[in-house]
Amino acid sequence: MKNKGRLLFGGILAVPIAFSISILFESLWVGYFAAFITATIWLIVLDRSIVSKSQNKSSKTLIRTFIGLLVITQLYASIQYYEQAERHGDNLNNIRTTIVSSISHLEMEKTLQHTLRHYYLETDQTELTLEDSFRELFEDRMADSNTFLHETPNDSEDMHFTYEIASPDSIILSVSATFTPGTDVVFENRSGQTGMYEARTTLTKNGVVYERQN
Amino acid sequence: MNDRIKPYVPWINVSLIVSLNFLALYAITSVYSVMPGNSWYYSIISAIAIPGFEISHYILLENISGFGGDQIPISEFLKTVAISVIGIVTLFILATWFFTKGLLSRNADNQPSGVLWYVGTIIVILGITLSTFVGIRNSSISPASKQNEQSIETNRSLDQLRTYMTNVAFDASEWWILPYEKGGGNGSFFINEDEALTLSDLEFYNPEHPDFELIIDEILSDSTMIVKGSLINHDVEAESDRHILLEITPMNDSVFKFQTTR
Repeated sequence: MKNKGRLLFGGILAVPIAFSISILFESLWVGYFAAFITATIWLIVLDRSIVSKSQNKSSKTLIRTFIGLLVITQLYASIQYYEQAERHGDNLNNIRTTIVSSISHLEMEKTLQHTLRHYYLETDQTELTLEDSFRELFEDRMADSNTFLHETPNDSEDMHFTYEIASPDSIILSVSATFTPGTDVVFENRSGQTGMYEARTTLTKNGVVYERQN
Repeated sequence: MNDRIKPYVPWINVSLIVSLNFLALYAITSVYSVMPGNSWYYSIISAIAIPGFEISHYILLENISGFGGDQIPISEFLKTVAISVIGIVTLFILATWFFTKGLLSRNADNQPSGVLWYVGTIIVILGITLSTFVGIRNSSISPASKQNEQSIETNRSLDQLRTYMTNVAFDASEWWILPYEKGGGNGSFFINEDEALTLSDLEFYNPEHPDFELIIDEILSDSTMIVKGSLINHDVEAESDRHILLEITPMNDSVFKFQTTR
């Protein structure tokens, strides 16, 4: 009886210990499946130490059938839940990346095409540079640390724009996302983060070139 | 009572209680929005009978919060850990223990003994039936979800078409701005009275695109043109869903705007 009590308390203790690795890995699924495996091992020990020693064959069969079914159906449902959660996560990430990518592309390309239009069609090009046009049009959006302010500023926005005057006739606008992931998880962003969406648009006298970098 | 039925009485009782639980769960989930006070019952049954549900629920909330740039408090994470651990211990350790012990120590009538046997057996059976139901429901594709999938797929294709048309619009706008010596139109979509910009002049345009077809619908003036984009090789519910019109106006700061199809 004493040994049986130890077996029960061993199981009750082993499951939380196995699950605690979820805190280490910051992943609930890792902890859940570790606890699931531990519980399955405990059920095998229960079978070996108690069920298999019983003389009642019908009870043995009944217990093994029910516990076997329990483990299989729970594993099946858990895998379904896991796949569903992964699918939702991927979909939301894709939607987020598509939104950020589209908005930032529009904002950067429109800004630089506006500059290009101003330079070629609204000024005397022999005396001015693209930088002059850019400054004339967007001086109020050029902030400290090369930050390029949004057309409609919003502190909670995910996108951080920067500008760079590479030469008087070459202007670069870049965007780094704060929490929207890019394609490469180890990509080092200009902002100091890793794995976030990043793109840049370059304006020269030949036009505008947009490049997604992550 | 008939002696032949007597050994099965505990199982009949368990079946009745499990059936009542199923009815209660159905009632709660089908009128859930008007009976939020009863959700505690649903939460307890889910946490014990299908512990994976609590984690799936947390991950979904975490993804939704992350979508808006927010983070779920650590207390929520720890709460989910605690509920999941209690669920797994109750289902796999305590319930199976009481179930096993009760069956192995039958009484004189050859019936499983003890109130705890009832508790353990009900939980084990709910664990088997609910997880089977959830597993089958999540893996099967109903006609409604098939229709949803087609609708999602169509919207995704239309979004991709809009992105493609946006890139072509920027190309057209750039062509309009650039001077003749840079291969542009110098402030016009017309090269001369008879000749105008064609899509093949644009770098981003792909005449062999496997999914989309673009045509210049109309050049309304030297600074306004309309491009029509269509989905090809794609099933859509209504033919009008297949097309998108885009007005390109490089003189305006907006550069272009999408129109409803005609």
